[in-house]
Amino acid sequence: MLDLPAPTQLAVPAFVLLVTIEMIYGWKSGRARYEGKDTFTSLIMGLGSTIAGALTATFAIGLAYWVWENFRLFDFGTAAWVFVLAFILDDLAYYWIHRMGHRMRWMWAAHVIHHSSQHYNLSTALRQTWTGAFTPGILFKMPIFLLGIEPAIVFFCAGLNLIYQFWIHTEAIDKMPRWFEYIFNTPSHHRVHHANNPRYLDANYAGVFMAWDRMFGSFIPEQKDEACRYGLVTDLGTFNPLRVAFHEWVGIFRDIGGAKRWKDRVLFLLAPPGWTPDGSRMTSDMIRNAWKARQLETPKNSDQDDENTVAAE
Amino acid sequence: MDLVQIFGSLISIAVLAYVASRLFPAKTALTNERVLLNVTRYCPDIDFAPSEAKVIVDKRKITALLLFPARHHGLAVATALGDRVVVRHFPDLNDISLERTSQGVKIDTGDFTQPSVKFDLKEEDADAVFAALGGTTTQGEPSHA
Repeated sequence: MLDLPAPTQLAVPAFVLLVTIEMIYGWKSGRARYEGKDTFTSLIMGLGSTIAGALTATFAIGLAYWVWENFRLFDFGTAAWVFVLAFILDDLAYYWIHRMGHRMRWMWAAHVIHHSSQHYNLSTALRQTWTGAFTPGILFKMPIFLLGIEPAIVFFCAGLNLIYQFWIHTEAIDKMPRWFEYIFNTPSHHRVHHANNPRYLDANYAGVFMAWDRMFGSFIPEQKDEACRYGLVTDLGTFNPLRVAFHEWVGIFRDIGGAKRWKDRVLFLLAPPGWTPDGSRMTSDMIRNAWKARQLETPKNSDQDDENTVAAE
Repeated sequence: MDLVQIFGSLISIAVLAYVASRLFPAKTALTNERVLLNVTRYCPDIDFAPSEAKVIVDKRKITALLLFPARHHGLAVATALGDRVVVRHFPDLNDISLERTSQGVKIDTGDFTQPSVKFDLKEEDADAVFAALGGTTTQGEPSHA
């Protein structure tokens, strides 16, 4: 097994330093905002995610190597170009894992943690799941192992991908140069992804390359006239890390426990978040459609009267 | 990850959160306007005249109730969470239980992230809440009468 470093663990001191710098910059300029308890929860979720990842890594690595050793089509070796190819293919796999993380409640139960802050700053980047190993996310990487790229290279590239995504969790940077905005994921694109404005829901899933969103029809640019409002459609009423980590799992188990038909039990896992048999809750599609209907009646940007944006301060 | 790393991380987290709380002191106070603004945002499909809604902000100004003018729209609860406001809407009042406490009123919501919300209310406000919601929720015994 190829022995490669874990990039995210090596980057932790840089993460702490950059959070501190953004905090001070935001305090001086007003272009970034933090809140003590929110920051505490985000960072505790990050620490918990690292610990949970270390505890469950054996399963993911074992499965990946089992597939690669027994079923690979080619052996790509360890040349530099293989790392480049692995990075691109892993970014494509990340796009679909991420998209399903928003469109399938089972995977959303893990990913929702990352979206649970009503703030958007570098500490939000570290607000990560504790339960990712309990979702089918790893299956989306199987084609890369089947193709013949060694799992250690793919996991290494996934770490680099996560490091890239750290810096885009900021309001301190408005827009990057046009060519950069076109090719890469940027703070502007990712603000849209974290926004709960109906207009912006379920968009911009990319990790590094925006090509995937443009290719698969999920790209929405940030609009100057509609500031992003961050958080969930129904925001959490707590900073308690345990409740943050497990709230959606509890919701799923409650719904499955109360369901009368097996079809409904399965759909409570596989359908989009908000799905119910009787339509009593709203999925993101329903929210967007309702917003569009309201726009036709009385055109008005949904968040123009919002108090929770830096722009409104 | 060993224990030294975990312990070091916890210290870093505490320091960063403390610095954040000092540099960005949270504006938590709820006002009628802030409640109306957030409830309107959270419940965009409910058409109501703000002047006809009854807003009751608790004495600590961190929780508030909004009774919609039309009874079938039920109740909204606003809570200041840090410097943000979280809203819960209960169109069906049977989904919540209301309890009189020595400080005012407590609402059990059944929401995992916000199981209960306490309202520190003046006597007349607590009476008004009970008068408006009485008979529609599972009410606990008044702790004082």
